Amino acid sequence: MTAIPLSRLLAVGRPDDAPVADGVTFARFRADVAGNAARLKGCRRGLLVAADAYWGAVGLLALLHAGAEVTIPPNAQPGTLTALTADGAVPVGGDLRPGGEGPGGEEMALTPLDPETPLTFFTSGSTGEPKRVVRTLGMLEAEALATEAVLGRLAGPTARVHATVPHQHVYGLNFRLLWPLVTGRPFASTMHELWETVPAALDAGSVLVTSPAHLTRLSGIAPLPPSRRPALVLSAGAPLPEPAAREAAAVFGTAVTEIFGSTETGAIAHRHREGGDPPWRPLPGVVAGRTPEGRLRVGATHVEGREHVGSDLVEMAGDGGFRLLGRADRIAKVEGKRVSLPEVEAQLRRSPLVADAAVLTLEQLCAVVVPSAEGAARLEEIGAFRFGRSLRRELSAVLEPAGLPRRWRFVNRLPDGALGKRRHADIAALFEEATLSEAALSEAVLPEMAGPRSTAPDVRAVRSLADGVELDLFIPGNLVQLDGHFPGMPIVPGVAQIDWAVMFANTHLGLGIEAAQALQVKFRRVTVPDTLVTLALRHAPARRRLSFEYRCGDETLSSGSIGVEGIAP
Amino acid sequence: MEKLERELKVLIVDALKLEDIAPEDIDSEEPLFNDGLGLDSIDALELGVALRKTYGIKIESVTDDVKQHFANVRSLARFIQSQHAE
Repeated sequence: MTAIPLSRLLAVGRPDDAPVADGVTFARFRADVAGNAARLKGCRRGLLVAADAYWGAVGLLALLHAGAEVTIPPNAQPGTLTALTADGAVPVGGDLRPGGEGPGGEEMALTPLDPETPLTFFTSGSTGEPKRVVRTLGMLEAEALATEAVLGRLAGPTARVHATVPHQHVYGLNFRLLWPLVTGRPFASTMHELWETVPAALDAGSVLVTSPAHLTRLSGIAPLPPSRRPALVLSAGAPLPEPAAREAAAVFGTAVTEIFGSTETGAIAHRHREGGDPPWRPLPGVVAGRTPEGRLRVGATHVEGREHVGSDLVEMAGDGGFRLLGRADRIAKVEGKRVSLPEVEAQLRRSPLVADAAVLTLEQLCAVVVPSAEGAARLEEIGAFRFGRSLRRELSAVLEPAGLPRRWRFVNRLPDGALGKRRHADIAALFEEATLSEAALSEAVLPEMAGPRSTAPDVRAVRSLADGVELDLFIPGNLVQLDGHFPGMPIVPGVAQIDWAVMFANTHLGLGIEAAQALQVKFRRVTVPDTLVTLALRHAPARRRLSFEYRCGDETLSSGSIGVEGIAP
Repeated sequence: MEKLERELKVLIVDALKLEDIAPEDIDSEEPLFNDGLGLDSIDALELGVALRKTYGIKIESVTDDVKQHFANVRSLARFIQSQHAE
C-alpha cells in the first residue's frame, strides 16, 4: 500500500475495507475520527491520554481535525494531568466513542491538516524536571516516511505491528502508530505487558516494537516457531546489551533492529544487531555530523530548526554513520581529573569478564558490574575484592588512574527504569546500606559456608625471636571480622589485626594485656583474607611496650606498638 | 494449592527483591499490579522470568487469557497447577 502523509491520510483515504487495527477497517476508523472530531470541535488544546493504541490514533486525529493543539503527557499520573490541564487543555481518551453514535451522530468533514500544527511532547530533562518539546505534524509525518524508507524493505506491506511499549512517547508514537497508519499496515491496539502474551500474537512477517527493558528479560522464552517469527524486532531507548541482542535473535529468529533518536529529534538512525557493535546509519534525509566538541549534530527536515545538537558524544564512522561514545553530560570530576563515565563503562564492557556495567561517582568512582559467565565463574573463584582488582588492572591499561573505579558491586542485572534508561538514584542505592548488600554478596560468593565461623587466624608456624615471637598466620576469608567493614571488598580490618596482636602476645609471650592502650599503628598495605601473613611480636619490658608487625613476604602490611601496663614486674 | 500460593508469595518477594513486605503480607486475592500490590511493568517482566525459571510455564494458545493468570497469587497458582496437571 502506498504511503500517505498523516496530514492528508483521512482527506485522501484508503479503501473502506483496508485494515487499520485489530479487525477495524479504514471505513470504521474514518467514521470514528469524524465523529469524535465533530464532538471535540471548539477544543483548543487536547491532552491525549488514551491507553489503547487504536483509540490513541482516533483521539490524535480527531483533535487535529477539530483544530486543536495536541499535548502528549509524559505519563497519565493524576498529578501530571492536573498540572497539564490547568491552562484549559482537555484530556481525551476514555471519552472517545465510535463515530455515528450518540446524540446527533455528527461527522466532521475531514479536510487536509495544516502540517505546521504543533504537538507538545515531554522529555526527562537533565535536572529530572520534564522538559517541553514541540514538534509539528509535518515533522511527525516526515519521520514516519523516513522510517518507511528504511523499514519498508524489511517488513512486508501488510505486516501487523505489535508492541510492548506505550504509544505516548515519540518512539512508540512513530513506530507503533504513525508509521503503520501512514503506510497502511495494521497495528495491534493493546500493548503486551508480559512476554507470555507475545508469541501467540505474532505471526510470520509481523513487526514487534519493543525496548531493552523487555529484551533483557526474555530468559525462559522458547525460540518461536517459523510461523510466529516476526520480520522485524525494533528496540529503542538505550543501547541493547550484547547478550540480550544475541538472546533476542535466538528467540525471534531475526536480529534486532535498533532505533536511535530523542524526543527532540524523533528517530534519526538505525542499526541491525547482527553481531558486535555496528555503527548507526542515519535514516534517509538525516545527516549526522560531529561538532568540534565531539557532540552529535543532526540535520533533518523532521527536526525543529532542521538541526539539533544534543548531549551525545560520537565518533564518525565511514559513509555518514556514527558510533555513540556516551553522554557529554556524564563527565565527572574525580580527584580533579575529568572522567567520562560512559567511557569507563565502555571499557569495562570490553572485558570478557563483564557483560554490562554502570559507573557513577559517590565521592569516589563506583562501578556496578554484571559479570559475564566467565566473569561470574572467576568472581566465585577469587572473591569480590580480587575480581574488582583484576578489572581495575585491565582498565589501567587504557584509562588514567582517576578513571579506575574504587568501589565495586557485582549484580545479576543493572537497575533500570522504563525503556531501560538507567536512573542514577537506583545505581547509587546499590552503594548504600553497605552491610546489607555486603552480606548478600558474600552469600553469593561463598554459597556454602559450613561449620562455625572462626574469629582468629590459623597459626601455621611459630618461631622464637630474641625479644619475642614470630607467627605464620593464615587469615581465612570467612572470618566474622570481615563482615561489613569494607563494602564490596573483603579486607582484614585494622582493629582485627590489633586484637590478634594482643591475643597472640598474651598467649605466646605470657603478657596480660587487657586492651590495646597507648596504641600507635601504621597501616601500609591492605591486608586481604585467604593469604598467609607473618606476625612478629616483640616485647620491650623496659619501654613497657609491645611492638607488632604484619608482613606478607618482605612487604610490611602494618606495624605498631601497644602499651604494656598492668603486668606483674 | 495453599502450599503453592505460599511458595509464589516467597518467589514474588525474592525475585522482585521487594523490601518492607513479607510473603505472608501478600493476600492471595489481592491484585498484583496497579492498585493492589502495586507491581509495575518491570516487575511484571521480572516475575515472568522467575516463573519460567521456577515452574517452566509455557503459554502457547492464542485464546489463553494470560493476563488473567497474572491477576493475583491465587490465579497464578491455579494456572501453574493446571500446567503441571497436563
